Amino acid sequence: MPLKKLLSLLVLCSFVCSIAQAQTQEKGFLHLRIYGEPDAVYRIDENIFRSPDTTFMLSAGSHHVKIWSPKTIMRDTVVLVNVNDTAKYSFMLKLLPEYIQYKKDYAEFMRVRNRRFFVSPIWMGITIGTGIFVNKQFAQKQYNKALDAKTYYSGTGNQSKMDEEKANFATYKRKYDNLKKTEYGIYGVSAALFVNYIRILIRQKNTPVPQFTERSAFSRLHFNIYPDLENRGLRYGLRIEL
Amino acid sequence: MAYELNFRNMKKAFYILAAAFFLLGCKSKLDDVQLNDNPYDHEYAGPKVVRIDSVRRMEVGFHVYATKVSLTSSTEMYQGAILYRNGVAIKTINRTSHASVLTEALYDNTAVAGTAYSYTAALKYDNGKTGQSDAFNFITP
Repeated sequence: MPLKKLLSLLVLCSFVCSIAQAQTQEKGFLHLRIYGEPDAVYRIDENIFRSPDTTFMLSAGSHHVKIWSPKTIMRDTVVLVNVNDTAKYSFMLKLLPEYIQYKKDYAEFMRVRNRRFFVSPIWMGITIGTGIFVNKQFAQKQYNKALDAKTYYSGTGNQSKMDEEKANFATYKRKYDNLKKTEYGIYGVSAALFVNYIRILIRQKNTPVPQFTERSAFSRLHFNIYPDLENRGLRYGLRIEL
Repeated sequence: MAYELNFRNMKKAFYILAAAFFLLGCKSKLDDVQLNDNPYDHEYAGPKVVRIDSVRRMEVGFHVYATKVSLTSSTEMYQGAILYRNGVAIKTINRTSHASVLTEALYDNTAVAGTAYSYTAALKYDNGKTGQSDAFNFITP
C-alpha cells in the first residue's frame, strides 16, 4: 500500500473517531423563560441571546446566566443542566426603582398635559353667579328690610315701637351680614379656582418631559467580602453591574 | 429683580386674595347705621332738639300777668310741647301749625312774683316725649 493512501486512511480514521467522541459527549437542554421584560438580553457562559423563551442544547453541568435590561435589575445566577434532561428556568425581572419613578413621573406629566382646562372657568362662572344670586335674591332683601326698620324707627315717638324696630333692624342686619359673608366666601372660592387655574396653566407650561436615566456607575459598584476557609482568611473584591 | 411667577408666589397670591375677601365680607354697609338718632328714644345720643329762647313776664289781660316761655325746636317731628317748672310739668300744648320751627308759646299763669323758677321744655309725639331742654332760670318780677 502506498504511503500516501496509508496517510489518507489514518486521517479518515481519526476524523471518524473524533466525530464519534463528540457524539458521545454528555448533553442536556435548558429551557429559559424571561418574564417582565421581553427585550432583555442574557448571556449564557460567553454567548449572548435576546429571545425571551428559548430552549438551548448545552453540555451537562452548571452554566453561568446573566440577564440584563436597562429597565430591570440584573439577574446573575448559575443554572444546572443534567444529562439528557431539560432544565426549566423562569426569571421574573424586577423593574429598577429609577424606572418605576420614571413611569410615575411620566404618568404625572401626561395627566397634567391632558387636563381639561375648561372645567375651572366653568366652576368660576358658577361660583360668581351663585354669589351674585345670593346678593340679589337674599342679601339685598335683608338690607332693604333693615333700612325700612330704620325708617320706621325714625318716624315714631312710641318707645315700644322704637324698641320693636330696633330688634327688627338687628335681626335683618345679622341675616344680611351672614349672607354677605356667604357671598364673599363664594367669591373666595371663585378666587381660589382662578388661582388654581393659573397655577395649572403655569405647571403645564413648565413641567419638563421626564427622562429615564440609568443608574449611576457608583450605585452599581458593589464591594464583596467573604471568608476563604481553605486559606483561613478573607477574600474581597469589587464587582460592577453591567 | 424680575418677579418670577411660580407655585410659591401663587400660594402667596391665594392667601392675599382669601384675606382680602374675608375682610370685605366682614365689613357691612349697615355698620354705620345707628338707631339712636330719634329724639323720642330713651337712648337718644344727639343734641337737644328743643330749647327755651326767652322767658318774660307780660300782661295777658287787664292786670292779669303771665310768664311767657318761647321755644324753638330743631325737628319737625312733634305734636306738641310740655313746659316744666322746677321739674314738674305745668303746661301742655298741641301743635297748631306745620311750621318747621315751633312757634307756639307757653304761658305760666301761676308764677308768683319775686320767685325764682327753673323752666325746661320737651316735645311730645306718639305718646312719647323728648328729653328736657336746658334749664332757663327766671325770677318772676
